[in-house]
Amino acid sequence: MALDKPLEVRRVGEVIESDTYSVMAQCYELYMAPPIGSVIAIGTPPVYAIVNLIKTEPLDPSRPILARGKNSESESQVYADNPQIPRLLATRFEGFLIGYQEEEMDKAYLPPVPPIIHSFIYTCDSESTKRLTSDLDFLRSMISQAAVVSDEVIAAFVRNGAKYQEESSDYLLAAGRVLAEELAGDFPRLNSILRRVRL
Amino acid sequence: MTLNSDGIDLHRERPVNEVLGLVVGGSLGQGLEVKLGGGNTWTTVEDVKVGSFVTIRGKRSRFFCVVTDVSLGGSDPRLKHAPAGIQDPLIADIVSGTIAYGTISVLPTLTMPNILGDQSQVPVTTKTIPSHFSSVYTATEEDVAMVFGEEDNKHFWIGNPLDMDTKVCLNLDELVKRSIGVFGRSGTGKTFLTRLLLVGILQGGQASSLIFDMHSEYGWSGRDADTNTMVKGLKQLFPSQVSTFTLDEEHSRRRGSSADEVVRIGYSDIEPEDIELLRETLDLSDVAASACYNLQREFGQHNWMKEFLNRQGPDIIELASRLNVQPQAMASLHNRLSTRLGRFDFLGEKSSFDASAKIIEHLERGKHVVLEFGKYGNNLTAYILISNLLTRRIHNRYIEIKDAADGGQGRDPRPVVIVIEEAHKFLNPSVGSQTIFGIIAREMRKYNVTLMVIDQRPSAIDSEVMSQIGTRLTCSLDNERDIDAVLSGVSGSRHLRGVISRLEAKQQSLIFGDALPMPVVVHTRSYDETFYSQLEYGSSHMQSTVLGETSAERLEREINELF
Repeated sequence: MALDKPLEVRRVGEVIESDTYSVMAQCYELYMAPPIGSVIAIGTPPVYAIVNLIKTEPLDPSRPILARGKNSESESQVYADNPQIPRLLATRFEGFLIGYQEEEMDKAYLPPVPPIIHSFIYTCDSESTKRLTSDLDFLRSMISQAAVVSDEVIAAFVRNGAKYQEESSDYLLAAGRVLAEELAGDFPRLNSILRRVRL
Repeated sequence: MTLNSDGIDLHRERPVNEVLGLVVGGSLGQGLEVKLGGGNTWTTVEDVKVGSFVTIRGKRSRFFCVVTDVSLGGSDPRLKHAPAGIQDPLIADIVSGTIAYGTISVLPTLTMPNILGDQSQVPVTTKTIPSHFSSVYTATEEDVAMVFGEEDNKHFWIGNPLDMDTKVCLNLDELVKRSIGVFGRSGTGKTFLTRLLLVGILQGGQASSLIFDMHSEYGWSGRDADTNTMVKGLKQLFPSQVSTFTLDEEHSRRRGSSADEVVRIGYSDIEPEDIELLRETLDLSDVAASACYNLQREFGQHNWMKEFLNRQGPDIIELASRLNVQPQAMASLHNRLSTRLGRFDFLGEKSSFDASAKIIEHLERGKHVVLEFGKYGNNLTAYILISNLLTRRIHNRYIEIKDAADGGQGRDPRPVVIVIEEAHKFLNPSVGSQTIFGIIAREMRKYNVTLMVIDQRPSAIDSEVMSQIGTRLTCSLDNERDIDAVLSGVSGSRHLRGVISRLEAKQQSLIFGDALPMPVVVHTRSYDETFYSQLEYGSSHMQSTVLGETSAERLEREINELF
């Protein structure tokens, strides 16, 4: 599988809410959230999470956004005509914690305490993504939260992982079997995820 | 290299066969359930056949098991109803072996030493089962060889397990110790299997055999009905060790075989028991058959038959009233005896030839005796009469010899295996308890006489007799009652039942009992040129090993035996 472009470590935002299972982060730049299913590293030493929900909303919840482009020719025109918009909006995303690093070892389970507020959030580079996705225990750890993690996110994680493996079809098979073992009693759900795993 | 106290290399590389699956449940009685897959390989059910062998590596020992069933399982019952997407090869690959998987049922039979090649431990009947998630492997050729032994003068190579090159060897000592049963519907290779067994017994020299050869198939050449070729008889393969007796000299001569002795029976040899056994074939009533005893009392054993047959019409009625027998019954007895038995050329008023003594003499010399029936082969009356009559005498003689030996005079009689065909005629429940064969099957082991019973209707054999059969070899059977009868008294018979009905019609048999450590389906050796050539070395070599003689001594013995 040819990579579209190598991933780089990029600081994308900070933790603004945090609990045992997940964090809510705010992006430094509007619309610059990492894609769903991608792996992010939070703080140092890193706590790993999978991007789940991405949302862009008004900074002030009491000020709803109004439609402004009735007379504009394009969407970019809307932003150009209203330069205040980026300052009124924020892009936030949710990350499900799947593991952490301790003494340079990856642990595929929840960190003892969640990351602190204002922890920096980094995207992972190709190498780390490959390392973390190839350890299928992270996938198991994610499915163990199956009740809250959507099928789409799991499928995106697997697809994303496959992209960075040398043998993507072998990876898909191995990951698929992990899913099958974890979801042994729920064939329809497994089937629904697997159908989304196809590249 | 690490050696243990017995000098066995603990780290010796086992030939690693792939992991078939993991034990997921089961019991000793019902067998274990093994889920296929689970290691790095994903075996499909199609890789496993019923009747093949697997080993399970438990925590403390290894278990040798046989596959008894193969089935498909699934972790989610909805799998059956929602197979959407399953056409996608990736999804199909993922699902198979994980939530849709194959399971096999295996029956643990033996516990093997954990270290391959450890001679200090021999496989023993298993009394426990491996723990959960023990790995299951296809049995290696070495494992199978360890269980079924190697060919030597105590172990006869009868065939190979299905799809394997390993030899399955029968323990000849155990084989001849108790009775043997060869079953199978007609045309499934009973005769060939019997030939093999006889060759084995002959080679091993554990016992002599007396073969009541109904269709003249064992002594001299017989015809293979399938290929329409002639196959060699025992006399051709082992001329110096086999003696042939015949009832029909003419027939033997026509076939180019030279019988050593021609059997003649006198009326005085026939006892009322013999007639009683023939009741069914002669179509006699109970009363008529038991009238023989009255006649015997009246005229004595030597003369009763002769005197009776010499009487005509009114004399018989008079005799009947004198002996208090119903006249009609007496008349019908006379009629049947004179018409049916009178036709037999081998039967005469007097016989100077004591067939049973001659046979015993040959048997005692370590020879194997084949009694050919020639033209009487299709006459069940002749077959039952002769085999019963001779066997009874041999039986009496053996008891005498054995008792004398027990009393410190002389040595034990040489063990003998008596081979009878159509055995249900002798051993059916109505007569089995009275005939000599019934007695032999039940208790003659003590007197070194055992039976080899060849039959296609095992259900018609007395269950008490069946239970005394030590080693059973069964070819394909399809009648439920026959299968039940063959399996009666065998533990794990539920599993074997399916195996019997699935045996192929040719060259396959299920063998179980004393001579083997566990039941096994065998592809029997071909009885052909290759077999003969394998014997040529084996027979002379083994005979001399048994007798502990040098080649010069052997030559001399063979010359003596020849002349």
